[in-house]
Formats: sequence, C-alpha cells, structure tokens
Amino acid sequence: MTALLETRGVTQRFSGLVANSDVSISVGRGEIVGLIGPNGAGKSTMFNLIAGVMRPTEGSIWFDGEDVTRMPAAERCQRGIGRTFQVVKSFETMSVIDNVIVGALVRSKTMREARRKAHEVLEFAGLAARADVPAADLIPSEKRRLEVARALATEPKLLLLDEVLTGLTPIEAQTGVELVRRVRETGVTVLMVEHVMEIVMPLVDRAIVLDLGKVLVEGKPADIVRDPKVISAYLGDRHAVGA
Amino acid sequence: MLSVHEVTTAYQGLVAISAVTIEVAKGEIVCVAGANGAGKSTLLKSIAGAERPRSGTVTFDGARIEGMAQHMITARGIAYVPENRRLFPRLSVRDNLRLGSYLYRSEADRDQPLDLVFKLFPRLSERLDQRAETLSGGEQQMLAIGRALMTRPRLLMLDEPSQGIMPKLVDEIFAAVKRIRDAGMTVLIVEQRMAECLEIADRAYILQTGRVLMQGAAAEIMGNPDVRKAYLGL
Amino acid sequence: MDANFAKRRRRDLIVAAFFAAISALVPLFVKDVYVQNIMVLTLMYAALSQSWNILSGYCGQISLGHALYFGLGAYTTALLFTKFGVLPWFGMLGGGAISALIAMALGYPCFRLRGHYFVIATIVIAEIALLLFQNWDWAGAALGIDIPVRGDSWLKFQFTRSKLPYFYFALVLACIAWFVTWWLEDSKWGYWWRAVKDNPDAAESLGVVVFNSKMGAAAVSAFLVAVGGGFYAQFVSYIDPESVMGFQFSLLMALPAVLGGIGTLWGPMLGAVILIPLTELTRSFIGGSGRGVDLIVYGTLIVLISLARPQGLVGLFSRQRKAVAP
Repeated sequence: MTALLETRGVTQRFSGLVANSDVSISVGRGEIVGLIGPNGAGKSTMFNLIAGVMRPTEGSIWFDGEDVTRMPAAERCQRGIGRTFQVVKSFETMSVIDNVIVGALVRSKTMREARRKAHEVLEFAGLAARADVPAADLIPSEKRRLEVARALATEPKLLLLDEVLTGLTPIEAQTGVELVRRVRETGVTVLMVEHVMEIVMPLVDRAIVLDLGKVLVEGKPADIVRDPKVISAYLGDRHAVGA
Repeated sequence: MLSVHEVTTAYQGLVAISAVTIEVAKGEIVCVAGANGAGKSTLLKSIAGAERPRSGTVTFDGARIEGMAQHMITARGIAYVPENRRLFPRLSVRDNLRLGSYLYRSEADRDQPLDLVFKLFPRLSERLDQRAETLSGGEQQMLAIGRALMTRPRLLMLDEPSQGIMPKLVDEIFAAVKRIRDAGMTVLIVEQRMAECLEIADRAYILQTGRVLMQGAAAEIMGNPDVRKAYLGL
Repeated sequence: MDANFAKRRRRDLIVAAFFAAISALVPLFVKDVYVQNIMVLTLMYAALSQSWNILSGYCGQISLGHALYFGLGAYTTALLFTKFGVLPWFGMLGGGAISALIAMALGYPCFRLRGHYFVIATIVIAEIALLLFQNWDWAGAALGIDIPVRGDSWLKFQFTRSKLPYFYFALVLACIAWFVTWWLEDSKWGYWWRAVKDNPDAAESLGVVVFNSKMGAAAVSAFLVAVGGGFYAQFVSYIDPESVMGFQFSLLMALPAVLGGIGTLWGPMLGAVILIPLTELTRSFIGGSGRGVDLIVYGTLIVLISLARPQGLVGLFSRQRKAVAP
C-alpha cells in the first residue's frame, strides 16, 4: 500500500541558505509520526513545503498517490492535507464556531451542514461550551485546540500539527495528547513537529529526526533516543558515547 | 554576581520558564543547556530585560534588575547577544562595532575594547569595511560578540552562539569565550549542543520544559547518563 | 445553538423590514423639498456605503477608490442614454456589469498588494480614471454630460415635479444593498471573506482560495456601487468627471461604514443616517465654502469613534464585546 505522504529528494534553498537538503520521508496511513530535531534543523520549512505554502527548490511531494509539488495550499487542503500553525492564527473577530465553520465549508454543500459539522468538531475537541465566544477571548490552550478543531473540520486525511503541545501545563498537555490519540482513532494520519520530547516520544509510532536540513535517522522512539547520531546532534559531538 | 531566583516568565499566557533559579559567580563560565523549547532563550531574555518576568527576582551585583528596561540593564554591565545575532546588515563591521560603544562618552573610552576584540577575532580586523551581511555565519557571530564586548560588560550572555556555524569556527568562538573570561569577564552561555560548551564551562544547568532539571559542575554533567533523557524524553 | 442563530437572522430581517416601512411612510409627512433631497442622498449613501462595506468591511480590502465605480456607473448610464437612447434601467445594469468586470481586472495586480499599498493603489487608480474622463472628448471631457429631461417618465427614470420617485428608488437600492449583505453574511462567501480579512494564511490552509474570494467581493461591491452611480446620474441629470469620480465620493462611501461599524450589517446604515444629513446641513449653514468644515466634522467624529468605540456606533448596541482585528 502506498504511503499517504511521500517527499522525494526535497531540497529548499533560500538565496544561499539551504534549509532542507534531499529530504525523503514517508508517512503511512493511520500513523502518528513525529518530526523532531534541534533548532534550525529545517522542520518548519518542511511543514510549509508539505502544506503548500512554498514550492521546493528541488524534489517532489506526493500525497495519496498524486504529485502535489506545484499545487497551491488551498487546493492541498481540498485534497486532504490539514494543518495548524506554530503561532496560532485564529480568526480573531469571529466566534469559535464561526472559525470552525470556515474549515467545514470545504466539504459541506450547505451552510446548515457546515454548522452541524462545526458543532460536532467542537464537541470532539472539547470546545462546545465556548462556541459563541469570540476567538480573541480564548485562553492560549483553548486557542491551540481551536486550531486543531478548525483543521479537523476540513476532514483531512493527513493532519500536520505544528508544536501544538509546546508551552502547555502538564494537565493541558495531557489533554492535548489525548486529543491527538482520538484524532488518529477517527482515521486521520498525523505528522507532528514537537519539542516537548517527554510528551511526544511516548505518543508517536515513529520519529524522523532532522538535523541541518537533512534526515538524520528515523525509527521507533525507543531506538531513536539511543542512536549516537541523534545524541550527537542534540548534545554535541563529544556526547556520542553510545547508549 | 548574578542571582536569578524563582523566575517565571510567560508569553501571551503560555508559561515559558517556571520558578527557575540559577547562580553565576564572578569569573565563571556557566552553561545553560536543554532541548528546543526548554526555555533557555526566555531565561536570558528575562535577565537582559527583553522580557518581563511574571514573578521572581534577578539580582546583579547586589541590585535588583528584574523588570528594568533593557538599555538600563546594559548600562549596568550586562551584554546580551541574542540568538539571531541582530547585526545591522548594511552597516560595515567597523560601524557595527562602533554602535556598541555609545554608552561611553569619550572617544578613548569607546575605542578601548577594540584591542581585545581584534585580538580575539583577527578575522574582524581584516574585514572592517565589509558590510555585515556579507560575512559568513561564524564571522557574524564573532561580530555580534565583538559588538557586545564594546559595551565593556562585566557579564556577557550568549544565546546559542554555535547555532548554524561550521565546527571549525565553533571551536574558535568557544576558545575566544575562554579568553574573554580570562580577560576578567563573566560568561553565561545558553546552548543546545552542549558538549563543546561544557568543555570550557565551570558549571552547568539543564532546563527541560521551563524548569531546572539538573545542575552541577560541568564535568559531572557531562558524565551524567540522565542528560540524554533530559534532551530526548525517554 | 442553531435556534439562537436562526432567531437572530430572522430578527435582523424583521427589523430591516420595519425600518424600510417607516422610511417609506416618511415622505407622506415631510413635504419640504430641501429635506426630501437630503433624505434621497442619505439613502443613496447608505446603499453605497453598504456596498463598499462588502469589499472593505467584510473582506478587509480597504478601498478609497470606489468613486471609480460610482463614476463608471454614472457615465455608462448617461452615455448609453444620451448617445444610444438606452433606457437608464438597462444603463444602470450595464454600468454595474462593466464595473464588476473592471473591478476584477484591477484585482489581478492590486490584490497582490498588502495593507496600505492596496489602499494607495485604489486611490491612484480612481484619480487616473478621473483624468482619463476629463480628457475623453466623446464622453464630454471636462464639460461632462447633460442628461436632457423632458417631463416625467418612469421609463426614462426622470422626474421634474417631485422627488418622491427618486426617494423610493434610493430606498429600494438601500434595501437591496442591505439584503445582499444580510444574505451573504450567512453564506460560504461571507465566511470566506471574513476569514481572508482576519488571516489570509490561515484561510488558505482551510481551503479558501484567497484571490478568488477577493475578486468575488470586489465584483459584487463594484456592481452595486455602479448602480448607485447610474441612479445619481438620473437624479442630478448632469455629470462631469469631478462630480462623480472625485475622491470625496470615495470618502463619503467609506466614512458612514467606519462611523457606524465597518464590517457589520447595520453599521453603514447607521453611519449614513447620522453623517449625511450632518454633511448637508453643515454645508448649507456655513455657506458655500463649507466644504472644509464638513470634513472637519467627519474627522472629529472619526477620531471620537476610534477612541471610544473602535468597532463603530454599532458597538453601542451589541452586548457582546467584539474583538477588533488589528
């Protein structure tokens, strides 16, 4: 079975700076995959390339068997790629439910359908009680959940989560983890960039480690943390004293 | 010299560091390490005045400085080199350095640190008229540190000086940091890649999700097996 | 939750019908021609501002060059009538269609521009059009077009003895502009526009084709404003470039919305009802050079509103505090 998402030899250059170099990764249906790496490793750039915010300098991106390399972001959403943003981008003047309705409109044919779908998603994300509140009035962890809910309303096949667990209190983080698990249970595949290792490593099926724009290693979390290359990337060369 | 006590800082409601306590004694090189998002930059910004702590105190040479304006803190003798260096790209190396010196009135006072800067970073003296944006990453980092030195600080704070720089230059930079300490200044370095940093540091702290996870002499930390867990979570 | 929403929508409709009915009755009691004139203008600007609001309020693309479409509507109607004998009813629709097309054509280069640059472009384009018309001999150049009025005629939409027909037409136009806004508010387009206004990047990630939605808003807005322009041509029966394409029209379309509440359903209406009579009265009381004074009045009102209630006068009536987009 073909992977849901595949990047083939993706390289991204910004006038002299190489943000990603020959990155080939794949995400299988139903997986939760973590994309990790030190600062400047090229994770956000990779996300933006997959979501369609920019075109790669070289290489191609395949989604659900289709070459989407040149496809604009809005169309990729229609194909089934949903995403959240690292810096939350809510529609501040709109209410919580209106935010989600914008997402639901991709698939719904009528406003009534969109509204119903939005209600369902808010229930799922635990924000139903805040439906009519202006998005600007939400607390940060709620805004994060709204980002996720809004993307879910587009009925994505692949959900790209950009640091959704960063900066949350332990309880909020646990709620977040639960949400991600439930998302996968509904059949959505998840690719998440994360820094909060102690939370994300137990969550993901597989982890891909980027460093200096390249794929360093990928595999099960338990193996990754013992890999001397990973240890060296995070801690510095002198630290690679093995497991 | 510097005492950070139970400092908590938040960005837009999200807590970045929580009840962090660190001490830096005069003449030390202290390293603060930790993975992305651990709060290292926030810690430095809270000390430098770029961010205002929600609670806790920062004491420098006996005086309380938390919540003070950044330029006042610089005037007290703390120089901060931020993660993205923030050079003036279209100004020359010379001008960038000069701009660090305006705390001092007289021409002589202003130029005094130049000697040290050029001794530490001979490359800079070779490129005085070049525009900052044309320098390589490593050279830019040297210039940023040089500019900070022009304020004649007693405490120098560096945020991830090795980021994005090739290993050879990283070694040069850390060697320079040692000599800065030998010249009488105190240094606080934040690093993600800590191995090279620990070699020159006296003591180190490791932050994880905004809290101090462990602390101790650099040599101890280097040998500690839990360090890896702090970074990689499992 | 859905029940509340439907109730709110119905309430808006009922309130609108109520006000429309009241307005329709006013001329029966107010016979003074001067006052009637003000009322016609108020309704016209209410319609224009409501239409402007669709692009600039809901979709967030602030235009200070909508006089272009107003003028195009006026000229199309006048030219088709005087040169080809086309009835103004068709002329207005023709003007609307032409303006919609031009709005979309201009969208190609302009929608790429962000923020202030877009506003500047709209001002510049309207000025260029004004200069073009001033030099276009076939369209009357600087002398403009005189629309011959020979007695009353619904067909030719001209009336000499009474202002009432104009009044009712303007009322209908205002109702249409309001209704179109009301309808679009709860439609795909309405949601897309507001999303694009608040955060185009997020909108794109949710499948909204930002460029297309801006085009749609521009076309609808331009169409309605142009119809208003055609109406105006018939109302004053003489037009020239300065009098239908001047910058003051662009301002007068924007200010009621800003005063009343930009991006809201009732804002432009409320703003027009307050601002336009104020304008006219100021002008007649201070005399011929009153042009400057009414601008001072606008300016003062805008400053007061921005300080006290940035979301506009409508904010006085809404219980829920609405956030203002930066």
